[in-house]
Amino acid sequence: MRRAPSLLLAFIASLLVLSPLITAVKHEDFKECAQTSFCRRLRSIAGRQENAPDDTFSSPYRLSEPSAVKAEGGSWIWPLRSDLYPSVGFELRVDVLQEGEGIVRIRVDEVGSQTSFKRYNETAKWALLDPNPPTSSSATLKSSSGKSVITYGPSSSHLTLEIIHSPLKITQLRSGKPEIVFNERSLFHMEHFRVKEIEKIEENVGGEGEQMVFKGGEMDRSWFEESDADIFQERWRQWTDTKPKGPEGFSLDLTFPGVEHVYGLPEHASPLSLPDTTGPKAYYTEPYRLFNVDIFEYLADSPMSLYGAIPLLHAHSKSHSVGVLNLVASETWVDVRHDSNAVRTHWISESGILDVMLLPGPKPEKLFEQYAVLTGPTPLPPQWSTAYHQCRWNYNDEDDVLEVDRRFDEADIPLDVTWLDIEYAEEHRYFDWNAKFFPNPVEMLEAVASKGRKMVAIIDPHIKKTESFRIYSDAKNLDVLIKKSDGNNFEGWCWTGSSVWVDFFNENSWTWWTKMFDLKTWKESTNALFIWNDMNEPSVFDGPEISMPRDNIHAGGWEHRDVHNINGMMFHNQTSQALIARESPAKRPFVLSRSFFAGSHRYGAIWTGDNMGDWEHLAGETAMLLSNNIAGMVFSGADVGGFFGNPTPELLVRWYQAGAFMPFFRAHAHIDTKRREPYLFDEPIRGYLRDIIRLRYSLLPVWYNAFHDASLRGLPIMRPQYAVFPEDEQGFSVDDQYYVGDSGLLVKPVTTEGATTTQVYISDAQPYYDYFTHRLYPASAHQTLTLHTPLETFPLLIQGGSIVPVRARVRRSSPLMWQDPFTLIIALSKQGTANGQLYLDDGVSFAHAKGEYVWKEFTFESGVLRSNNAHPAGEVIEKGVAPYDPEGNSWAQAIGHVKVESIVLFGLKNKPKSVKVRGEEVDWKWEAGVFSSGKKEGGASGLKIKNPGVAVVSDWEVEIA
Amino acid sequence: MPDKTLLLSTLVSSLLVLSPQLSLAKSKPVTPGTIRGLNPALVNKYAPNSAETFVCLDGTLTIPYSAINDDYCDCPDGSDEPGTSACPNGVFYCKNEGHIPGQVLSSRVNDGLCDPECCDGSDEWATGACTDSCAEIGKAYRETREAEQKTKKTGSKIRNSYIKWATGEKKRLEDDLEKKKSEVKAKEADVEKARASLEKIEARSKQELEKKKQSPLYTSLLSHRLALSRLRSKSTRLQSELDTLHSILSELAKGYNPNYQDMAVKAAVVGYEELTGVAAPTEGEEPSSTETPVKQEEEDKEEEITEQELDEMERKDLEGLLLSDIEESTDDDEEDESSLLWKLDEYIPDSLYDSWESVRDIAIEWMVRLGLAGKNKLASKTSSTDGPLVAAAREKHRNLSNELNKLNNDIRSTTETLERMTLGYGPQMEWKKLDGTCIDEVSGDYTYELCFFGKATQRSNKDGASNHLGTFSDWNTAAEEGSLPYYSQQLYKNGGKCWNGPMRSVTVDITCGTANALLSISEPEKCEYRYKVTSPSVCWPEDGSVGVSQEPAEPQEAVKAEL
Repeated sequence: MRRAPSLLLAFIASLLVLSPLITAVKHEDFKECAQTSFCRRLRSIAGRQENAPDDTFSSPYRLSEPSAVKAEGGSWIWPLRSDLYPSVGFELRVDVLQEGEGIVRIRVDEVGSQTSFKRYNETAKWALLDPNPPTSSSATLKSSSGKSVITYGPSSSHLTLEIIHSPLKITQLRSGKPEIVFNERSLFHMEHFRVKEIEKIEENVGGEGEQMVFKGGEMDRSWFEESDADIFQERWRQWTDTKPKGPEGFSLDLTFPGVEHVYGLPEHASPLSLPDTTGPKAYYTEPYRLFNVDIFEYLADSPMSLYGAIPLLHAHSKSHSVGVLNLVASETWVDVRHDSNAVRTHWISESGILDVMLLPGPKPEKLFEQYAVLTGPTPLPPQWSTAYHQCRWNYNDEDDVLEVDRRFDEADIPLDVTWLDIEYAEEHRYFDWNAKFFPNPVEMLEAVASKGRKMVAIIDPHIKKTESFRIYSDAKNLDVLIKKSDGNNFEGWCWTGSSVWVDFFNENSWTWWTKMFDLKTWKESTNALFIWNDMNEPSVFDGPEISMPRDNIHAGGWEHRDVHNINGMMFHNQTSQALIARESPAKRPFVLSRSFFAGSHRYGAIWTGDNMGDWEHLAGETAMLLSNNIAGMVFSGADVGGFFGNPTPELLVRWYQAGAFMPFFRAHAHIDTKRREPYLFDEPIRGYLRDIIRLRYSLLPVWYNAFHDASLRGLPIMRPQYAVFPEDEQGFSVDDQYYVGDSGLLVKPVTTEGATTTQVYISDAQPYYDYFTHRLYPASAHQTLTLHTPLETFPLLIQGGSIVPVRARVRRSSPLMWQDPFTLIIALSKQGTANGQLYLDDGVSFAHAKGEYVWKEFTFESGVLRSNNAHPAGEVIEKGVAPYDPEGNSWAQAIGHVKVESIVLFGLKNKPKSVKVRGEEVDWKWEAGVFSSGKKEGGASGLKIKNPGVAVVSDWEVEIA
Repeated sequence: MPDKTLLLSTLVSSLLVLSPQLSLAKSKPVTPGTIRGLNPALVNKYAPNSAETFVCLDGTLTIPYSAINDDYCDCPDGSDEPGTSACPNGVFYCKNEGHIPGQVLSSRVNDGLCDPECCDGSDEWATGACTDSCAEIGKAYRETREAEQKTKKTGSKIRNSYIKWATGEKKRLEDDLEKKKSEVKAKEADVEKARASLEKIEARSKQELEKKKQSPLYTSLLSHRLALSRLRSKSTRLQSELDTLHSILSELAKGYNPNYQDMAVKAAVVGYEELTGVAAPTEGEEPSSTETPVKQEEEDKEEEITEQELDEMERKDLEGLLLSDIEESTDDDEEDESSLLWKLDEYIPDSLYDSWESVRDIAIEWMVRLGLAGKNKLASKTSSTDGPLVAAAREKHRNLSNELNKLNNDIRSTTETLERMTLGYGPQMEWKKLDGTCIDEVSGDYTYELCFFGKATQRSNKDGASNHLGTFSDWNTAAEEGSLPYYSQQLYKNGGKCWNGPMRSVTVDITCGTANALLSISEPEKCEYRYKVTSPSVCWPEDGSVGVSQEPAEPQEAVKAEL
């Protein structure tokens, strides 16, 4: 009772605090660099370097022996020393990789430590396809007068790596021009392991400790290193990080000469071309932070951490592109500054070895491929998962789910996937249906599946700590839970209340987790049920920064700090493997994750988390998704409508327009919001929503083509202007419009309230055609088009020279469309040509890997439209493309009857005299208009060929004379 | 498995069936009666002409007759493709022999799914995915329909009994109204007479009292009492603030949304639960409630005693005491809080007295109406300081006035009820009978209750805690007033406030049934509930004899004339 007054105060305070919470992120829940011991220490080096007189600040690091030890072909090792701690040993290893046209891997680790500690060196194991990619035997090393030069890569690439021994500096050059410089500013630093007691002795008796080798007593390191009281223990708010290994941060200094733009480092709500975080032009005051967190109502423009982290950076100029993949999984901060001659970056990480991949480019497209060489491409997802998803927290019961299903049908709006958020589960014990509301889940799933649809249910990583819950008791008995620093199982608070977390770094958890999804084990599921992994940063409500204490222990004795950013990916991966394993023959898995890391694209989709239903966040999504796309995380989307809040009908329509052009297209809403399923609205809003969803369905072939390209070469699905036109400087900062794969479709979401016009930037000298009105905008490079965009429409343009395959007959769900005919939309280039492609397979199995698919290439040239196989029968033309029998494979036979029902050709100059297929005239219509090589804007001329009588699987020609 | 079987079956059938049929469809000579998927009602519009052309039904285009059902969409209105999926906006007509004809959207044609609307499977002519199941579906349909009609018939009978009851009730109310109206006139005269006599007596006793009031002891007592009143009102205010805070926090504890992931909220809830001794309903925790409530009770008791003493002190009739040495004091046990309003008179400065008086009268009128104040003490101005003569006169006047007020109130409420009987209780007053009838149903962890025209509530099956979900506010405002859809939905609004959410509300959808029953409860949006209810009251006869356009039943008309 005595506590009452203070408690009362606390109540009142909490009530007061709650209302501002509704509107913005709680900054105080998350650390800034200065509140973090290692970041404070390592960032300060840059400050001292900047303030030091010219040429007085040089790196204490040097290669201690000029000649390298050759580890194997294409791989060299040098001992490395720091003048600050001469007794501590480091090692530099440089590998030239066999694949990727000249990827260099640089690693630095401490060696021969007096302590038993070891830096975390397994990031590559989880992020890369092969943790030790084969090295190139053709690379050669020459050493002379304090410098070693490695020559490597294809002979045409003229790549060299120049290593200055002392002070250490490494430069990647192409044709003698420096493109990436490591340690240009001398900011590279690796904190060595030390023991607290020894440190103390050193402090007290001034270097008399037996292993102390400092000659003449104290060494002054303050010109480089900052002393810090928090190196062995750190307190933040109510949490203490015990840091048993002491300081183990490292700082990486990378300069990109000759560029003005850097891209990447997802996930941040920031522009695609990353603005400065330091220096005179600083746009943000904090560095970009990579530390996966569950952030509540994140800001629309901020370098703060979000749910995922991909430590990949592209540096781009008109003449070249290079990239850097920093394989570090601990908390990392990156400062960016644009100087007149270069972009300089400073990477600060809490723990782990230095393991950096230098991607040579020299063009964005090559960077995408090189990243895919390392981390693998995005596997083809189930085709249905590229269609429309309807989610809400929550559909309350079976009737609710079936009503949603029914009402989509009544409104004639297609739908593929209905989602269940956390409330389906009894007490949030995922896997266990709440029988009061879902008494017959299998019946419900089957009813949904009877229309070709699927469902997704959430399985979060926090496990309710209740003996009666099989998942908990299993995991506990298997001893696969994440531990506290004292060795006991870690417990925290999440949706379920008191919870534990499975350590998916522990291989013993893998087969068990797979079994949990076995249809014989999880009897209340079917193969139409797929999975959503949320909260896997991990989110711990009562943990520091709403996550896990960093001194928690994972398998192998690694601390949570070492693996934090990979944690979500491990969970995502195992769920994905479990879905593959549950059926034989296997079907493609679909797992949506919120947290991600480099490599997560191999396991499924991600979304941009808990966004707000406002215009600002809608506007910000495009840049965020583009950033994900250039960093390999192509299967991404944002909650359509915004997770929080009640969007106005106008905002909702604009959001659907944007969402229909995101690779992952899902509407989602918070439990406190009004319902906003598209059928609930009155006309004309409902009609607008229906049209936009139907547009997505008719364009599904375009999306599947793009996913296929991503699956082969790692190319982005949403392609920003700079990636498509790497030499058009005017497009380098454009991040509010993009191309869909190689389809030639250019889209720009409308993100301003009340907009009736929207401007679209055009880089190339090709005509562009309005997808909806067929208005032709004549070719003119670097032009800005102003399009009329009242609420029912938005800029969707076809680049001249494109052939777009669409399926105009939209069904209730996308699997039902598999034998419907195609329409080819041809938008002629200025030169009167066009090309496109069409990739088809069964959409669900892995049979495509055995050659069961159809892949056609369409070309239009000199009046002839041709359909050919995209690659010759039986041949392996590139990695990942299975040899096939174009018309004899079982999928090609299954769709042998699928026809092209219509060909629409825009931009022809003259009305044809005849249109023939196999020498016979077919039915066609001509509509006069402006043409592709002309200078006039207006309705494009249109040739509409009706039922040409050709099948998609066959080779054929249409002659237009 | 569904995936695969769906795929395979359609695959196989299409291989075997689709290709030949498609080519057949093209070459077949077409006569209107045989046009696939065409609604027979439209056949005459598809009659072939000499030019062998067809005009799209919207008149926009003339196309070759052979383009009908050629699996290519020519007409913007889809009229050239009644039998294929080629047009996005067409419909396919199914004869459904053995059942009633139906139609499906063109996007359903040949999609491999069997739609009940097209039980003859004719829409799956290319996939052959469906066999004719009309016999079965038709039978089930007829059975359902028969059952529905039976329900409706029975329900309608019950509804008639409601109407009959309401008619009688209305008659009774009307008679009553007339009777009371005539009583009012007589009563008004009596009151006037009593008032005149009271005034005369009052004037005489006033002077005497004024003299005694001048004493310093009396003025000092007055100021003490004023201080006491102020203190007490402050204390009441604080108590009510505390109560509000408690109720906010108990709301929070019950309904807080863990999504806010805010440990401060959690700490507040846990702290609150500790304070009040209510154990959190989470598993594994022992309720720690035995001790604290007892303590609290004791405290409460102590406080109550003080309250009573204070009450007595404040109520002490000072003027009565002044007079007691001269006259016999009047016994005043029956006085209650409502007289506070009268007592306040004494503290109102003269300059403000007039405006105060009107405020007070309105307040009192409302208190009487709401049943908060006893009626018998409100008719006179001062309460207890009178000598026996004055008191007797005042008593008489007061009683008469009260009787008059009561009569007027009765008339007002009866009139209101009668007014509601024209539309508020349904077109034929069928709902009047159900006013106050309550139905309930268990769903999840709660029992939900609905009292027609009253309140909707939700009661926890665990701890019995209940939430007010809303009070009757409207019929379906989205529908035309007086129509069946209008009476098929009731809105209950302004329930308890949800934590971080709206005021709770319930939309009640009512369908015809033989019993008044609550079938199901859902909460599509947080704190916005939906009840599905059956009631005979909406079992309107099928002959269309009920509706807003209908003349009201006879008795109703009679009332209108009288009013």
